[in-house]
Amino acid sequence: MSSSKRSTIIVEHLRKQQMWDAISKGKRLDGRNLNETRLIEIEQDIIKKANGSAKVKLGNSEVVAGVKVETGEPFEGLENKGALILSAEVLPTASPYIEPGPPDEETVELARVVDRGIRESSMIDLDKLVLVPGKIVYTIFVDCSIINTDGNLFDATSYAVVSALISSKLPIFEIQDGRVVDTGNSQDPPITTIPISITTVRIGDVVILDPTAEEEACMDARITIATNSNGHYTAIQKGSTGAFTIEQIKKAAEIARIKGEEIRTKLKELPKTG
Amino acid sequence: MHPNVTIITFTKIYNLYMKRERPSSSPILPGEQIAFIEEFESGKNTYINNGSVRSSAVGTKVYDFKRRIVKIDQKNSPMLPKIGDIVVGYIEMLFGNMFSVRILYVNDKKSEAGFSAIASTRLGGGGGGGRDRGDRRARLIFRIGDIIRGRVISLLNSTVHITIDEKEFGVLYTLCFNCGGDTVKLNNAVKCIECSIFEERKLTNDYGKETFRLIHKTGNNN
Amino acid sequence: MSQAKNLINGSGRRTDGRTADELRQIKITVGVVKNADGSAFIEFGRNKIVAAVYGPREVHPKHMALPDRCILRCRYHMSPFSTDTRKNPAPSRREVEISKVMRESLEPALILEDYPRAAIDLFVEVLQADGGSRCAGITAASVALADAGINMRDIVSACAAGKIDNKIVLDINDTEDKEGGADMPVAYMPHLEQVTLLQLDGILTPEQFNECLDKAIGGCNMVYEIQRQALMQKYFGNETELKEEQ
Repeated sequence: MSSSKRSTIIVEHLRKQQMWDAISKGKRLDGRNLNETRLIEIEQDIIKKANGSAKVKLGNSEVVAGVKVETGEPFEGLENKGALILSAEVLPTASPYIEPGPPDEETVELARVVDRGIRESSMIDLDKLVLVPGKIVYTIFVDCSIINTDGNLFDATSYAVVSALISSKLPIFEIQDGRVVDTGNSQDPPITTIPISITTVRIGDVVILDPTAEEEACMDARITIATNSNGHYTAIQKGSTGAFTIEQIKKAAEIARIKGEEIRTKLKELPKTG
Repeated sequence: MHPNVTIITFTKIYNLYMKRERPSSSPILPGEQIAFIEEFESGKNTYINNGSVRSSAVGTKVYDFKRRIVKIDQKNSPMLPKIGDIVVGYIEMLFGNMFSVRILYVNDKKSEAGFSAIASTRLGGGGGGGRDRGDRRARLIFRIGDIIRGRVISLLNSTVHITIDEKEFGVLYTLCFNCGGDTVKLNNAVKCIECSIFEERKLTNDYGKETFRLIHKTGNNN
Repeated sequence: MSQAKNLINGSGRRTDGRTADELRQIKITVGVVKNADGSAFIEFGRNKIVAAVYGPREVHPKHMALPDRCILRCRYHMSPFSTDTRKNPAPSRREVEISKVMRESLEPALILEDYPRAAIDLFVEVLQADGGSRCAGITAASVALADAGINMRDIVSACAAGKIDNKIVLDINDTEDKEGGADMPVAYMPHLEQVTLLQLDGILTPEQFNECLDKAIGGCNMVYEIQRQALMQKYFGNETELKEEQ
């Protein structure tokens, strides 16, 4: 959704002003406070054919993530680690402005940012997912289908991936006569920590949490910060064309830590089904 | 034809003949039969197939006993501009005597269908004669991006035609063409509050950004 | 293909416990995708499918527009986690074909002449596949089209019948599809009594063909009842309450 088209400048300008007027009074157009996230609804294990799955609704943003576990060759340079591959597709169901086809820049960024949040936190201990060192390892695919968009896909997708991984059961593979055999048994994945990403955006001089699509259309800059269970920062991505001051970044980092812990607690309380 | 069907329908008519139109509370889905063509003609949201009048929409039946027409009151009409609708949008293209408007709101409801409408840049009927064009009032000035409010007057050739020839129609809001600053209404012109540049426009009587904001706010709540 | 396993047991029950004339559990929810003009979510056995409709809207690119009617564009797509082994997210030839037959099975039901120069976009996403996903997809899609308020001649209901252990049964599931003898998906307009999709994989005698078609159409009528209830639920609340009022 590029807003640089000349003919829409006036409309964008008006919407931006309207948004700015509202949030400079400390209230948002949907009635939330500046530091308030939308309601998060998580349903785990909805895709029985996947090894793990979750549907997450963050306001009206809706994401389904599915985990598939296979075996394969390790990545080059990471011969003694299992492979984790994350993909995301914003389905054309998700908004009137999405066209089917190969992922665009934004979707690629989305997948990579979510991937980094999970990978860098070492949420899954990939060292434990090796069958034949250097030859055969577990390959975990996490695919995300975004069904409806209303802003902050970074966090919605990240919560879906984390919930899907928590709910997953890895099949136990064995090497018999040089071939990989599925024993039919399954195990819990080696989860070491729960990374939670929190996105804040700046509109004018105000920093708000968990933006809606409308707020994203008006934002000057965005920053997504992931923290692990210890409250350490594990991945950061600054996006959009604007800039942040150092204070704003420090404040956003602090909020990401506090809010992240709240959401992590919520995730941990989920009933483990399946 | 089954004789019972006719009898039931006549009893119905007898009971209700005083009322001209009577909505029926029974819900109808597309495809369901509502009458035989001998009894009623096919009205809005219905079609005829093989001697039957059938519904083409989700809604409720409405019988017009005087004119013997049955129609369906649709529960969920798609938001397509109809004649008489008020649309708000921005000018996407200008061509000589016409300009095209990308529709953003239909009757103050947000429309994401992306339809365009065309309007004439001249006031006073247009279309008449053609020879006396030079005598008509001078062409009005518009710019790409201007926010326009108008009323749908025709859907000829599946194109939405709108008129801006009324006091509540015309340019609803625009920015200064010179510096991009905020503008205010001054008689029949807009004046920039930054650089004081002045430009003639056909404005709505409620010109101003507040009006657009109001539409934007209500449009999104629907 | 070997038919080593018995797909129907001694008491006439199938692998999932159904009788020959029984459908899988079907649940349809209308209006699940907030941004779409119309949408439906169907759980058809273990199939989980979202269908969303956008339109009628401006055609893009513009040269595709038709002066006398609306164009219907359809995309059937499976999520990578929808199948037993992970599916490559890029559209396969199978998905392209299903997109086409799905469009052709729905077009007869739509009054496209009512929206000239416009487009209706239909997106069907399979989140979990369990055999018969094209039928479930068509069923959901036609509910989504009705939810979008598009003028329709009829609702399209779809259901498959097939042959397992040389016996004709309704609503083939995944295992039966893979190991059985024939699979025949049918889409049908229940009021107009017209067939809009008919495919067959496998071998049927002329008698079996007739039986199979009749059985599939019976299934479509049962599917329609569920579509009807789902739409009634959304637009008229609880149907039984309405009936009591009358």
